[in-house]
Amino acid sequence: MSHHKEFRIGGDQRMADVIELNHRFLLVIERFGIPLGFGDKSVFEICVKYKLDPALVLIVLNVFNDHEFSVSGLLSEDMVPGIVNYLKQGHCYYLQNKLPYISELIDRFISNTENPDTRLLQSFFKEYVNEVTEHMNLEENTVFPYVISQYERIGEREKAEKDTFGYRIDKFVDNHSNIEEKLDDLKQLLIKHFPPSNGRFYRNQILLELFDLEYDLNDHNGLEEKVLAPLVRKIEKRG
Amino acid sequence: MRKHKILIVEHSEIIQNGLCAIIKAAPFNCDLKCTDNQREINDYIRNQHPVILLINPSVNLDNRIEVIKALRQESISIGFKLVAIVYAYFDDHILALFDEVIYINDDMSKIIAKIGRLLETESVISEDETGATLSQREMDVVRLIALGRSNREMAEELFISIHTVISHRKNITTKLGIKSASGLTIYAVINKLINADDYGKTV
Repeated sequence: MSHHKEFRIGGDQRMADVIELNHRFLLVIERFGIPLGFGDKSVFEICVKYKLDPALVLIVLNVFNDHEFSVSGLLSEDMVPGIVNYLKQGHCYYLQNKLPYISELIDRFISNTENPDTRLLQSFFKEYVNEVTEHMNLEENTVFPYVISQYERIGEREKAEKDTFGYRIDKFVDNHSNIEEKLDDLKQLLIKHFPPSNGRFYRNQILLELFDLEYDLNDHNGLEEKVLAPLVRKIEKRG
Repeated sequence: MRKHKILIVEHSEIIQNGLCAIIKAAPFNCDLKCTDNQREINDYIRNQHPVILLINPSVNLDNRIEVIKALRQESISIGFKLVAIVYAYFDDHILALFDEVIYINDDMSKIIAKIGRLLETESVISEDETGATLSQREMDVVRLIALGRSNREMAEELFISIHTVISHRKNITTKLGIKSASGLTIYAVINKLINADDYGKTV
């Protein structure tokens, strides 16, 4: 196993340069709890300052930067709490910031257009938000506690207790597609089916946000499937 | 070579068999099916994709004029030819709904020539697979989805099989890019298939 894998983004790079390279990293560093205003500090220095595992931070940055980036040989079991925490911060961002913001944009679009049918977008979006909330609550209340319990049991070898959750990580990794359906429908409705109307600025803004959300959710799910699930599988196998 | 499927909707067995005999005698590679049952007509159209549907405009179906108008819509959207089998008097506005008319006094060569012409133009017609326009039947299905009907309820209301309902739904999703029932409901409202007030009652 090589630890000298080619990182496109390395620990010696200045964090400010990393952000310039790919502005989507703004979302990543926020979820790691790194505030902006880091001057010329390197990724590594910042990790030390905020007590983060630099290996994990680099994996996430590189996976986000290049979806083909292979993590094999880079994952270590003690990344589990860090990655779970990262994912939780992601949920927090979706539920408390991103989705309410899109909802506001939809309201503005509705009040700037003369087409009363657009009001239905808000009810539709609420249904979507409910689905996402439910999905993320399931992860927070079932999947993550399971993952953490598996992690904490490393070394204890208490086989008998292993199945108390009746859960396997593979059960949940297949479970992602269902929350994408309505998001895509909403895009199609706005792009293709609602007739031309006033409020074009907001209609576009909603779409830009939806595309951004879709992209970000894919990254988020990719991390669960590519980093979290393999780690937990590894622990499950040790039994 | 692919077999051309032809459906004959006619209540008289003499006429049914006569038409079959004539078409079989022609050098077309055809699969023929006869019926005078509404459900069978719909199922055949859905599942067999006929290229020609011959129908007697006086065939014994409930609301037959409405049925023929619906078939006209479908023939345009799905891409098959609609042909009248005529041995009584019909108004021009009825006959105008058909691509071709076969009369009781047409001789064999005339009938074969008419069918032959339709088969030649057949390949040009059925291209609109991904076009965004829904057929009349698909619009019926969207409306019922919007009203919250289950697949089984839709099958019963439209006199088609559940299998056919499901295949309509697949086609609708491909054409519109909308998967969820509530998304389709909004589409139905935008296109005046249901009232805006119905949204939310059903989903």
